[in-house]
Amino acid sequence: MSAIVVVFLCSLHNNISNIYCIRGDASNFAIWENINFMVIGCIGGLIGAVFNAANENLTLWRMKRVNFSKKRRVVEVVLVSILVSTVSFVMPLLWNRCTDKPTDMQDWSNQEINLVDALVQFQCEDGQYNEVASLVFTDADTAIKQLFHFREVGIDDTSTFSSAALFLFFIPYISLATIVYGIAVPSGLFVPSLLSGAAFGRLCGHLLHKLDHTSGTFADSGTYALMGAAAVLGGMARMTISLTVILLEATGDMQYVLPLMLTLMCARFTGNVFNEGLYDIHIKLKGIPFLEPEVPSIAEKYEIVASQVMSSDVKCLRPIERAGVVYDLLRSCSHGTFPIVDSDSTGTLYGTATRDMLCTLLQRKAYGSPNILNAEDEAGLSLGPKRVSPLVQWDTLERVYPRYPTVDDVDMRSADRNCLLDLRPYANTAPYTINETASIQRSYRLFRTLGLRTLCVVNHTNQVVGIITRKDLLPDALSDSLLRGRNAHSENNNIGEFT
Amino acid sequence: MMSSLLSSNNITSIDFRNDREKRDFVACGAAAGVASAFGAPIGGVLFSLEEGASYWSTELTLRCFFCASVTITTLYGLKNLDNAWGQANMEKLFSFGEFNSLS
Repeated sequence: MSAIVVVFLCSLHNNISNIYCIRGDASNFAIWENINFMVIGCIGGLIGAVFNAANENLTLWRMKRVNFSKKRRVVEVVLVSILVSTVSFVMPLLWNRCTDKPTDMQDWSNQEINLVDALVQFQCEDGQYNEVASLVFTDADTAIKQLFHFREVGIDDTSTFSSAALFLFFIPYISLATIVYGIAVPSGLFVPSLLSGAAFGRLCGHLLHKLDHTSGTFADSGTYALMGAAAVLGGMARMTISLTVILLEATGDMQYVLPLMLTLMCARFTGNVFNEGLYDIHIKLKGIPFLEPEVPSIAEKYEIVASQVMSSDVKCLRPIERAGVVYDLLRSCSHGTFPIVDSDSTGTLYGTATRDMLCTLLQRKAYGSPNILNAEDEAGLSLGPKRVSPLVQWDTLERVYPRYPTVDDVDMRSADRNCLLDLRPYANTAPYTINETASIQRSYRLFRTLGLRTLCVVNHTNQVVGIITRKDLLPDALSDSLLRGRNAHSENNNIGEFT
Repeated sequence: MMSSLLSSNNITSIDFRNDREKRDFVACGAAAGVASAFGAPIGGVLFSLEEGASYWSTELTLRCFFCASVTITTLYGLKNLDNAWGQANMEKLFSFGEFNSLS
């Protein structure tokens, strides 16, 4: 918010120091037009929100119906390519109007003359061009330049690309972009949204120019096209700082800092009212447990402690463990980290062992003979100073990163099942722990700032009572555990009443 | 050119010593990709700062910046091979062209 205030103060200051002017060394736009740009930003944010919602639903459908088989994915790609080619061929045919190329180009710059050469003739006579075909059949970056730079000539200021042509281009193009993003080809989001946004912005420029023919009240449509491109891309990806700088570097013109900032900010705010950015949506859809920078609002609203969200069904190991037990444990679950607890003192935390490490140890058969312990040790597998299995060096363990052996690579013979695996040299004896009474905000920040995957929950005597993973801290899981806690509470109450 | 963004994001088969290095490498790759695709090195660094990385350190800023500058140097070199590395032709990089003030 303060940034906006500062920006406004700056613009106010400018307004006083050089009262708005469009001539000479002054900017391409008047300062009050920033309000127009902000409105464009808001509309762009709306367009982006619609795009995101449509793409989210489409991706959900795709995950259910297409993505499970490779054959279907290929078929989808083929079908979508046919659809895109058909639409992009039919659109110019539908337009079916030929426009004369501008001829009076005495005072035009080289750039503009080159752009005129890039116009596509399609089915028109020499010296004429099809407006929609020129946008569809050129490179995307040339089309963007055309939208940014063609000056308005002719009676109604809109001769190079007419409003109807822009509209006919914008709607199908952005719909196609929605469908294409997410199919099994590496496709981009930046250039299509810049192009459709540029068409949208130029359309806005044209409409404004229709209000006022005298030319000079409003900035040229190219400037509006730039703002439209920024607005639509900003509305989809919800980027502000980086997009401002990227667009600024691509434009190479410092005068657009202020309008770009305002436009992108408005696009972001408007879009965030409805949904999240496209990248965040796709992170969520992929099921990646990504923790947002800020603590979920549900954790702020209710008082949740670590013991409510943790899973209390902890699979623990002892410092010296039978190889068969370890193997069965790895087979039975897919956890990544296992707490090691002292067996003689009722579950005091000794350290943690990772799955990758256990698999490597088992694969290398780093276990000692089953008879090495004395009879009294045998009962509790208690800790003696002597090492009971051969040592594998750290180098050997980590050399295979990141392709650690999985449990399927382990070849466990029944004769070895009784052998002893000494985990003491390998255990992480100083794991991150949290007390069961700690607030959820605290454990969230631990996860977020330290980049943890798992966190052992201990009670005041350092006994393991549960384990928290990243998935337990996602907003949905938090509300689930809150609900579960409430149900358990009410059930307990009921029992109390009946007995 | 956009493919460079994707490819640099996907080079994960090289041996890294740990997850952190892999993460940093991907962040640098994203910065380099945007830098080459849009000719915007600073924008690339800010892109991976804003969108890509969850854990950002000053050291990573420097790495990304270095990566983006190497990328942009290579891009200039490759695109200007024909004029024997004389004065760079700005038209050849991705740009939105020159906005001239209309009177």
